[in-house]
Amino acid sequence: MAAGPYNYSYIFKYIIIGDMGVGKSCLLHQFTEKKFMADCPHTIGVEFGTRIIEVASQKIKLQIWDTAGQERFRAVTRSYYRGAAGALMVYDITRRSTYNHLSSWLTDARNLTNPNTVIFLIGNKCDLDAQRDVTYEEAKQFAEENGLMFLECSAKTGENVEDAFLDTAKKIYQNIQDGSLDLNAAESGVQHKPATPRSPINTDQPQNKEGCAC
Amino acid sequence: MFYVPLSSQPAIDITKLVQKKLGQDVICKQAVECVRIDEGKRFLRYAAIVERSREHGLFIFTSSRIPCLQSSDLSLEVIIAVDSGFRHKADYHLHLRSADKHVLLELPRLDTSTAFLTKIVSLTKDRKQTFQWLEKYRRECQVFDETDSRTSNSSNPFADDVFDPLRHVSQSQGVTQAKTAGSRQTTWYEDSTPIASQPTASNSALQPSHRSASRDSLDKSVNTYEEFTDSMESVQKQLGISWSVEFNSAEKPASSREKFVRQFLIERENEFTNVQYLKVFCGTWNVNGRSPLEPLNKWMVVDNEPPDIYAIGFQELDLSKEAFIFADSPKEAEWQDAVMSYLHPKAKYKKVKSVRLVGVLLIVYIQEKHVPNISYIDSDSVPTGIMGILGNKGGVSIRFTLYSTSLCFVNSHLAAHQDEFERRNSDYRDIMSRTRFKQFEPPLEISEHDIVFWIGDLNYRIDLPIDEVRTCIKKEMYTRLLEEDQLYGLLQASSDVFKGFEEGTPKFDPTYKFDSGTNNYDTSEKNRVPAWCDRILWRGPNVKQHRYNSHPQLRISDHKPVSSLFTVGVRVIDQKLYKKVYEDIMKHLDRLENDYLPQIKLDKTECVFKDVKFIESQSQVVTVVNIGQVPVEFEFINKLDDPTYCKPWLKATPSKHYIQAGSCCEVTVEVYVDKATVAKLNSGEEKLEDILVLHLAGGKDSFITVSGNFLSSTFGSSIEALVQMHGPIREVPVADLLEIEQPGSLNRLDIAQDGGRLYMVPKEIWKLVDFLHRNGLDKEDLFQQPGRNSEIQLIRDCLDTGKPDRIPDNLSVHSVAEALLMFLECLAQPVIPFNLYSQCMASCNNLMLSKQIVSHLPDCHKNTFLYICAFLRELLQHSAKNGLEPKFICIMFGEVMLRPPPLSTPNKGQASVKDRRSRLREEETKKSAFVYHFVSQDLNL
Repeated sequence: MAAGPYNYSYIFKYIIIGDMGVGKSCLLHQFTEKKFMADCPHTIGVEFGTRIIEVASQKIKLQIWDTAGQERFRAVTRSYYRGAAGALMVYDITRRSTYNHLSSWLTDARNLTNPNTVIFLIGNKCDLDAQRDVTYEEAKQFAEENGLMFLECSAKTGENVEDAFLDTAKKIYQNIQDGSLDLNAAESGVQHKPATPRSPINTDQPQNKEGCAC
Repeated sequence: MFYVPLSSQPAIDITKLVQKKLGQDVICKQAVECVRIDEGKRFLRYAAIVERSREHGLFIFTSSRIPCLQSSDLSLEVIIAVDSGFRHKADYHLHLRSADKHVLLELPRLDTSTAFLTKIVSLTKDRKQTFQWLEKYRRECQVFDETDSRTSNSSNPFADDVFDPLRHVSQSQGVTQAKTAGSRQTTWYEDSTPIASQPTASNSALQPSHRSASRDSLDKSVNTYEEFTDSMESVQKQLGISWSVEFNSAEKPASSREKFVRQFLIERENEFTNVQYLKVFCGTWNVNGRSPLEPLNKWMVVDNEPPDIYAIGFQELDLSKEAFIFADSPKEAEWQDAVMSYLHPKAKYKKVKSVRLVGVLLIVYIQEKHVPNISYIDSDSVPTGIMGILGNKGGVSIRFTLYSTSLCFVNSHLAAHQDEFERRNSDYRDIMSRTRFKQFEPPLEISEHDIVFWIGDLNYRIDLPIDEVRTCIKKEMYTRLLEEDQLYGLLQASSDVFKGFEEGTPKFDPTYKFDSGTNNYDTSEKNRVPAWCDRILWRGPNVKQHRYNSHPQLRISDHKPVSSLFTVGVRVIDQKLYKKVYEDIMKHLDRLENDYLPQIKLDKTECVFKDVKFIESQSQVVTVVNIGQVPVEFEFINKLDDPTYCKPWLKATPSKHYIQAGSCCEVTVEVYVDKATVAKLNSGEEKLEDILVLHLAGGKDSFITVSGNFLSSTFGSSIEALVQMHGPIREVPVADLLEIEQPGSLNRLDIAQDGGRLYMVPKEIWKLVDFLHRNGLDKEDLFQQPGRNSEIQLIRDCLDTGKPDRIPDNLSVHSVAEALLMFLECLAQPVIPFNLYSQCMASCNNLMLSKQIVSHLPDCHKNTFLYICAFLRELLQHSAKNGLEPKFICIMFGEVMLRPPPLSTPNKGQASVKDRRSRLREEETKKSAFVYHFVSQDLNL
């Protein structure tokens, strides 16, 4: 068995980026706590959360860095891109400006992470469909043009939140499996932790020759 | 039974085997079988006298097989050099001693042993020797020792953990092999082929094999949930600290998490396990060396419903001498076949395992449908016969895990004879303590199983006269017999023997001793007292006995077979429920882990400093409160590619600190613009803006934004800008300031248009010099005694605001002197501009060249330089009173007027401190030499 029942075999580092107020911290909170934070203050700094998930029977620990979205912190938050295996790039479907800034966030993400970093586009606040300012199709097209994974989510209802985080992990894991992500690279954002074997040494022969009485 | 020495068998020549083992370099003079006694325990060994070039050594071997049949069975255990330090005390107990070893051997009373002893006695007379050749073999022993110690010292990091399945599981195959090689247990049986024993998913998930034992200890350590959370907290506290080293190496959190998951699972076990009831048939029969000539179904099939498990034990299976010597016995096969053919016809069975020790055979069968749920099958045997090693008496055991319950079956033949009660007890203790299931690391013991069945010819007797026993049997007065039954007595008294075991009341005639082929008790001259020698006991929860019978119909032996049928409840994990509980626990732990992340709160995240002035510190306090559950360690960390955590004018103290949960730490954020940073802030090249990144070890980062406005100062302005400034700098609009601070602003200026009014020298320098001229020409220690900080700040304000217009005369001369030096030092471009620095250094000893440099300076710089030099000349004219020396003055002013360009500071490469110092001294000399030309005389430039 590759992994023990409780131990995790990988650590993936994620960052969450995007304009101020698009709901980055709420997404993180919803993912780690399964709760919606109604009065979430602006993040001044970088929040941090973890959760252990399972992909292809492998336990994976996600270390998620949720960055401040304010423009004035942009220069500082760039420090955190380094070594991320996954980047969740978030906009607010009810505020077009947050969508318009995506290309600038994407440039940062591409420049500051390694080429194999999985970038996942999240259109948040999809529960507020009445106030929608960016269509699904438009964003979908943007994602396709830029080779991004994409989902519309709601940190409030929890819709698709789990999927966004898990799909990112699956993609990273797939990259590891097909060898495109080199774990030995300094900034892969993935740490492999081989689990200790836990079955007892089994000196018994696998099959009996004469024991069957039937 | 009597002791049959194994090596008396002509087929095996142990001397030859040892010779083959050691190779041709040495000669094996003689090898014998013996028993090594170590810490009161006895181990079968082979001892050999080995010779090389008239030096001798005694080699002690272990054998993986007894008797040893091949040289490869042998492994070296100890070597004793027969050197000057060699001592022996020889009778059939042979004490051997060398410098560092002491070995006690017991030899069989045989001619071969006598010959061996005689040889040893003769050896000691040899001369003093070197024994270098032994080293090669000693290394072999060491390898042996090392592997042995390594297995006992498992690398398992959870070794001390109370509830850790890994404690019982070897980490790797390699370790096991070492263990087997180093095993001092003597095994006499050959493994029969078992069924596959891959652990099922549920088993590997919960590893329940030894749960009952470990659960007890768990209960002791974790009584309540509160206690548990406390312990969690303390662990997490430790984590908080360990994370500070390097969070990503989250080794600790992982392992502690694993422990918690397991503890939670145990606590909630009832939520995901069901009890499944299985029928277990136990049968025991001392067959007195007979063959199975009678059908066994009367014994083995007692119920219409087929049992799920059969555990059949035989004693005295084979009484032939060969049975002691050779691994296989033809009798075993006969009985194996017989058992197999009389298993309950209504079910399909598979053999779990069988194990034999001479005449003691245990066979376990299980219904085929349970095979996928059985795991960790293992067996062991413990001889308790003569010398504690012969297998005519002893116990054999088979253990396995069914679903999540561990079961162990023991079949034993304990010491015989009415009055050997204590011997039987000691045999029990031996079997109980020496049985080791070595598949586990450390090896599992019988007592660590959930359920144990102990069957066999236990040989306990009834302490009554034979006539009374016979009468009672006839009248079926079993209670009376039971009262005097030795085993019943043990079970009633809380003895350590068969502690915790239960037995049903035997309601059948004593099963011993009959005339073979009849149902008549012993009529021989020995006239044995009938006894319930053959018994079936159990230990553990959820066991219910349905039947407990003997089977007088079977007559071939002098014992009657005994059987018992049980219902046994085993814990079965419901995979769905298990998964649900498991995920629940994982979620809970995720939440806990996030809750236990370091958490802090800052009372503010913005520090705005108003009107920051040159050399005037301002500070604010940011309170960092630890609102989390664990201690935190914070540190201000560098931003991407920055060499330090903040700008040079900023400081946070402490920059690194540790806060207990619930406590806080006040961080002073201080802004101080000094002479190194003032110029860039004055010119607008830099602003008072920075973001401090407060990093928590193992947690989030917080940003503290620092900003402020800097009040421009004449300190740190450029001479060019200063000569253009008619009013005080504070009255100059910022835009204009920025413009006149631009390099070359003077050239662009339309002087005519502006009234052509440029100062010859910056008026601030004039004011400073004027003050010194008025008040300080005759003062001693000028430029040596430091000024007062508050006065220097006053001077700064005076120069920057023009209020008062003149530096007040009541200020200390020394403050003004220091202000002058500081002013010159802060100038954005030194009086002698950076670009001429190296030229000055090169020509400092040449008056003409020096003059040339100065004459080509921009006017305002030239004027300032000459003005200062003229003032210094005047000062030196008063040297009689002020005590100033030209050399000192030139060094002081050389330093501030001639400054190396910022990038070419003599700090390149890895120059040693010594080199740098001497270079600085050299430059200092050159600077003062340069200035001296102009201070010593008026050159009329």
